Amino acid sequence: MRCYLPLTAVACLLLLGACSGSKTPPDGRSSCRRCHQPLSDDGGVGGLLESHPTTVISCVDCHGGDGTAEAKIDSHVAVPDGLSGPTEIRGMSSVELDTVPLEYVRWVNPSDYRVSDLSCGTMGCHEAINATAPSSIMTTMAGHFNKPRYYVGRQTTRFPEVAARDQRDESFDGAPSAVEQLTTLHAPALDADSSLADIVDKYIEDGCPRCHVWNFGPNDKAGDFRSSGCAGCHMVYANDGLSRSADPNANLDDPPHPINHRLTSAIPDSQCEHCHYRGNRIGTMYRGVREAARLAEPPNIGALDESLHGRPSGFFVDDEDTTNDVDETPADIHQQAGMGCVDCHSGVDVHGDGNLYGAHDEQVAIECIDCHGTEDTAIAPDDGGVFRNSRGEIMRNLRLGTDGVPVMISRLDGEARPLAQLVDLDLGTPEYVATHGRDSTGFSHLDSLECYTCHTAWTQSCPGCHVTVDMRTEGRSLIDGTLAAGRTGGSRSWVVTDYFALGMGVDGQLTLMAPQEKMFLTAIVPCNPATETCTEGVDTPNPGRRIFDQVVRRTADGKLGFGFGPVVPHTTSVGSVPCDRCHLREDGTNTNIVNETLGRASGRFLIPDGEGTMYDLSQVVDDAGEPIVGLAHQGTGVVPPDVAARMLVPRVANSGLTLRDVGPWVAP
Amino acid sequence: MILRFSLVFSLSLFGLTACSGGGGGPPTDACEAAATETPSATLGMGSTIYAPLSDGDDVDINQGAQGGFHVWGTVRVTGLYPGVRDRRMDPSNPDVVFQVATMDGTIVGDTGSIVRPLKVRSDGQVELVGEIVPLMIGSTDDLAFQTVTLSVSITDFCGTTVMDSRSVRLVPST
Repeated sequence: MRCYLPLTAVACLLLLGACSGSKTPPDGRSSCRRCHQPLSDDGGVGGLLESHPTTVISCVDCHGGDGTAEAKIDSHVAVPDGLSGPTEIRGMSSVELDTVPLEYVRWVNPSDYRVSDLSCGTMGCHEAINATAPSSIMTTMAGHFNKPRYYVGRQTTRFPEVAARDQRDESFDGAPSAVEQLTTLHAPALDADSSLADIVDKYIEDGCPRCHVWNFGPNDKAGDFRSSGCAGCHMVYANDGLSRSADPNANLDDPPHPINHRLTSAIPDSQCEHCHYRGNRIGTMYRGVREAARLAEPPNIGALDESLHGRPSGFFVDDEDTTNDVDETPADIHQQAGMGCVDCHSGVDVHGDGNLYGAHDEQVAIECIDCHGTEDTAIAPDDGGVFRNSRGEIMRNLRLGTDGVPVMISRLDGEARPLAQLVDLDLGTPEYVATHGRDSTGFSHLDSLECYTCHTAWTQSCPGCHVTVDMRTEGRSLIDGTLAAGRTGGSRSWVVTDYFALGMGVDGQLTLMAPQEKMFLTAIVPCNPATETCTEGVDTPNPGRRIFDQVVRRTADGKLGFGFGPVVPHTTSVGSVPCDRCHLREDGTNTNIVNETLGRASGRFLIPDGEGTMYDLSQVVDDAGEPIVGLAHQGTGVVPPDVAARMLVPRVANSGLTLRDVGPWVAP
Repeated sequence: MILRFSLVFSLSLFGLTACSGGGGGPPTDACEAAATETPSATLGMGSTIYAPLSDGDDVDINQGAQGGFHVWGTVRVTGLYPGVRDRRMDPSNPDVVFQVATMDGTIVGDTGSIVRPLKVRSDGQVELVGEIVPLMIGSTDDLAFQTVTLSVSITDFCGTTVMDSRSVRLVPST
C-alpha cells in the first residue's frame, strides 16, 4: 500500500458543506482533492493540508470512500441509520463506538484502534506501534481503575484486574508487574444496599475514562477536545476545538475539529494537557500552573483568566503572590528551555511494550540519567551509533553534536539542545559534595534517590477529597454510555505546593509520594420523609439520606484506604529542595517538617470522618515506621526505618523553611 | 471558587475599556461596520454548540468530576465588534458577564468580568459558547428545580453594550 494523505479525524469536514470552488480535475487528482484541495487559477494546490506529507497515501487508502466518484453522496461513506453524523460518534463511549459500522468509524477516524490496522498500522507502516498502543497504560486506564479498588478492598492484590476495555496479552510471558488479561469494569447497579466497593466502582466508571484512547472522549468543553486512537495524540486540537483549516469545505464553526488536517510527532504540550490535567496534574504543573482549593487560599494569588477543562476563570493559579517578583510555582526547567512532553516521552513511554501494566511508572522507561548520565559516566551512543535509555529503547532524538557533546533534537522546534552531563558538573563545593558526592562511609544520595526527589521546585497536592455518589439522580458511564443511579461529585479541601513526603518507588529508590485519593466517601439514596429520616434536600421534591457518610475506605488487609503513591511532579529545577525538608536541623527546629516528609503525623491536614473520628492525612506510618495506609502501587513502600533513622540525625543548617499553615478544615 | 471581580468593579472595567482607544484595537471602521446592525444579545445553552433557550426551559446544573457546580453561558449577538478570535487577551475583545440570580435577586452564579473574543461563524452569526458560570452552592439541592434568572451583559470595544436574560429552571444534570 502506498502511504499518502491519511485524512484522519476530519472526515466530518468532508461530510459537512457542499463542494465549492471545484474545477475540472487534471488527470490523477481524486474527486476528494477536487473539493477539499481546489486548484487556484494558476494551478496551485490549496485547501486541506496533506496529513502525512512524508509518505504518499491516497485519501481513500485511509478513510475509505470512493475517490473516483463525482458526486459527494457517492464518494463519502454514508452516515449509518440512526446516527446523526460524526459529531455524535465523537462523544460516544467505547462500548457505544463498538456498535458503529467499522466502515463509518474508518471514514471519520482511520486511526481509531478498531480500524487502525487498515491505516496507520498497515504492513510496512507503523504496525509495531499499532500492535502495542491499544494495550498501553494510556489506553487501558488500568492505572486509574485498580488503585481505588485496592483501597476499598475490592481487589486484594496490587495486580490490575479491570480496565476501560477487555484486553488480553496473547503473548504474555510473565513480565513482572504485568498481567495476562484485563476485563472491562462494569459497576453493579446501585441502591440502598450497595457496598462501599460498589460505589467506588461507579465512581471510577463515571469519572475516569475521559481519557481512554479507545474513544474520542466526551469532547464537551474547552481544553478537552481530541480524537481517538493514534489521532488522539497525533492530531492536534486547539483548546476551543475549532478548525483553522484552509479547506473550503471545512466546518470552522463548531467543535470538535482538529486545528489542521495534519498528523504530527511534534505534539504540543497543550495536546497532552487535554488529558493530563487530571490524575497527578502533570500537564498543568509542567507549565507552572496549579489548581485552586476550596479552603485556605493564600492572599494575592494570580490566576488564569481562562475557562479550561471545565474550570472557570480564576481556577488555575499561576502566581502564589502577585505582590512580589518571585515565581513560587515555576514551570519545569525543561519547559522553560523550550522542550515539550514529547521530547522525553516517546516510544514505549507512550505506546507501551505490549504488556498490560497497572501503573504508568511500570511502562514509562525514560530516566533522568538517560540524558544527563551518572556522576561517573556521561551518556554515549552504543556500538550502533544510537543512544538508548535505561531499558535499552532507542532515543531517536539524541545525537552527538559537532563538538562531541550529546544533544537533544527537539521534536517541537528542531533545535539541538546540549545535554548537560552530571559528570561534568562537579562543582567541588561542600554543598555539592554533600549532595552529589560520596562520603567516607561510601554513602551517596545518588545511589538511593531519584534525581527529582530533590530537584523538584514544587508539587500540587490535594489532601482531603470528599466524594459523593448521589443515587437520587443518574450518572453516565464513560465506558458504555448508560445512565444509572448514582451521580458522582466531590470537592477537595486543600491544595498545597509544599507537601514533600518520601517513599520507595518502583525502581527501589526514594521518590516523592503524593497523597493520592485521601478520600472520604458519601453515598446518598432517595428518601421517603413519611417513613424515613431524611437528611439531604429535605425541603425539596427530591429528599435523600446518607447510607455512607464521609467514610474512609479500608483495604482488604485492614489498612486505611488513603492513597499514597509515587509521583514525578514535572516541576524539575536546577535548585534543590532544602536539606532540612528531609534532614533534622542541628538546632532541632524542624521536627514537624521531617515528620511530614517521613509520613509521620505533622498535624497539618486534620479531617474527621462522618462519625467524628479525626484523621491526620499526613500520617502514613505508625510509631514503628510501619505503613498504616494501603500502598496500591506494586513495588512501592514507605521510607525504610534505617533510612528514616539517618534522616533524623541532626546534621543540617536551618534554611528558614516553614510549612504553610492551611488552617482548619471546614465541611463542604 | 475564586471570583476576582465584583459586578460593580466589572462595570467600571466596562467603562474603562469602552473609553480606551489608543494602541492596537480594531480597524478604524470596525465600529461603523458593527453599528450597521441593531445591537442585541440572545441567550442560548450548550457547552460546545449553541442551542436556543426560552423562558421556562430547564438548564442543567453541571458538576465537575471533582468539585464545583456551574451552568454553561452561551449567547449570540448582533451589532458588536467581536474582537480577535485567536488573541484571547487582545484589548479589543469584548467584556462579558454572565450571572445567575434567584427570584429575590440574590446572585448565586457569576463569571465576573471576563474578556472574551466572540466567534464569527461562516453564516455570519456571532457567538460565545460554553462559558462556565460558577454557581456558589455546595450541593445541587441548593438550587435544584428553582426558577432563576440567567443573564448576560456584553460590552464591545466600541462601547456598545447588549444584555439579555431568561427565567429558567435549574435541574441536576445527568
